[in-house]
Amino acid sequence: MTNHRSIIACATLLACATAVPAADLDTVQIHGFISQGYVRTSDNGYYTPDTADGGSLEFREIALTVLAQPEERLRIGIQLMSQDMGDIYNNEVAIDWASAVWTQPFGGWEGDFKVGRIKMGHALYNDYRDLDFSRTTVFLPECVYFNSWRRLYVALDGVGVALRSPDMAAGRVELNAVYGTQQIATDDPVMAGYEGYNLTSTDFERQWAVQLAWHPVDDLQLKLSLLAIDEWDTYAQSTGADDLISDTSPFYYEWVASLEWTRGPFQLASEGIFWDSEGTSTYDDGASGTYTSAWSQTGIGGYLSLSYEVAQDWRVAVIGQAHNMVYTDQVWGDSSDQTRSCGIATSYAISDHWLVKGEFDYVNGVYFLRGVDQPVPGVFDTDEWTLLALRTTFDF
Amino acid sequence: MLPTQILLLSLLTAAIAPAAELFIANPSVKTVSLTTAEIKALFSGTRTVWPDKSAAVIALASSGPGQEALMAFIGKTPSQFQMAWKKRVFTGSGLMPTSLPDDQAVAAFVAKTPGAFAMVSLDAAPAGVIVIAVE
Repeated sequence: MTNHRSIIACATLLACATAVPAADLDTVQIHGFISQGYVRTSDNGYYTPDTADGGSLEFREIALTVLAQPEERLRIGIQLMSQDMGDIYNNEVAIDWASAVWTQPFGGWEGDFKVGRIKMGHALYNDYRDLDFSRTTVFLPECVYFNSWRRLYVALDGVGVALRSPDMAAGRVELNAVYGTQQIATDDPVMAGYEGYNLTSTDFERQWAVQLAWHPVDDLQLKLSLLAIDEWDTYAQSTGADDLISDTSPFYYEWVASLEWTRGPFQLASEGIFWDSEGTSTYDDGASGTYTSAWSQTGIGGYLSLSYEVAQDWRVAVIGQAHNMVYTDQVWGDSSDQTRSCGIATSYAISDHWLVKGEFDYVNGVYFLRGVDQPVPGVFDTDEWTLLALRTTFDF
Repeated sequence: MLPTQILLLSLLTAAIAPAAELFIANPSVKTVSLTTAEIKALFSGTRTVWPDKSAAVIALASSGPGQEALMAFIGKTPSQFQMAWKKRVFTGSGLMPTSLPDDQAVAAFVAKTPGAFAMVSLDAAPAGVIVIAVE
């Protein structure tokens, strides 16, 4: 599946590149970054049991980006990325995005028409959630930027359009829409909810996302994002009674409302998320038959962060987040799947291209943790735990 | 001939005005003035074309009076400017603006590059360019 996606992305780039003479490729840029982190938790494993046992250095990102502008309105590019986050991703090199973008002005507006593996633009930071140097904190709040589901938020294989208005009396607006699909492997972290089942395949019919961003004044952004997945089906090989055979979800969708405001040395960011999904699971009844069970999941969460530029190269930030999820037949406030956290972070730019940062969080809840990452798999040490993260990033 | 006349006129104007830096463009550009918002949009990458729809090529010096004046004009520190463009580069939303060592190099680049746009110091003695007025 991964190869299939890679072929599509590479074919798109090759098609664009071969559409113009090589001599015209006079604007080619190569950029990249490498980031290394250290994470230690007081209790519970954070993507690896090692964080609770002396800490882990398995937090690493390496990216290489090639951009070219073979024609004044055509831009092509590809980003290869390797990521390690505890026991997930494990340094596998993948095509993060690979797209061709045609810019077309009309009136005072500009439109970008995209094809390939394209960034989705969902919420404030998903497009550059992997760019450590773009924020003060080490981690983005998982209530909106759930690390296990990173692949669902970063890019999809399909088409997209982005429209940008000129500066108007009411400010500027940007409308972005993407439509496509994803090929997710059964061992992808996205499938962590199926731990213990023998998955054989998972299939997305389609995924789409729409965002409307409004900049009423400079340095203020209000944004509303919708992401939806239609027909997410997962299949498994049963080995006995009560084993999963299939899980069919007609929809998953989430709304994110965002605000980002920069005023002098201060930057305030806040986002709220609401997501909903439902489906039907089919299980082996152990006697050559099956039984089904309908389910639903709903979640709500949000965060508030405030960053302050102490000096040109030094920033500090505080952040707080909360998330609550309810399963079928549960009611709000009765769920055990709640997480609250607050943290403080600082970053220091040693140079324009070299950054170091640290973050400390107090967390109440284990919703964002995976059972498989715990010292005793499936068993969480405690609901109250702390996280210390250090990170350094170099880019060029 | 016309661009040279425009430049001379602009230099005369600049000699009277207190500003020691000015926006310059390649003579291929058919625009004579831009609003502050349009200039900010060009330097932020949210606008990529001139009003006549031809592609704009942004350039700046890595240091010096032209770069300092540009940052003051758009209201960003050099690190904020760099950060904004890194976000565009690493998400495929744009190519990094052309960065050159000083204002003289920027002026020379603008003179030879169709669609180019930059802010430089008058000390750079820009030649073969047109001046873009700020509305």
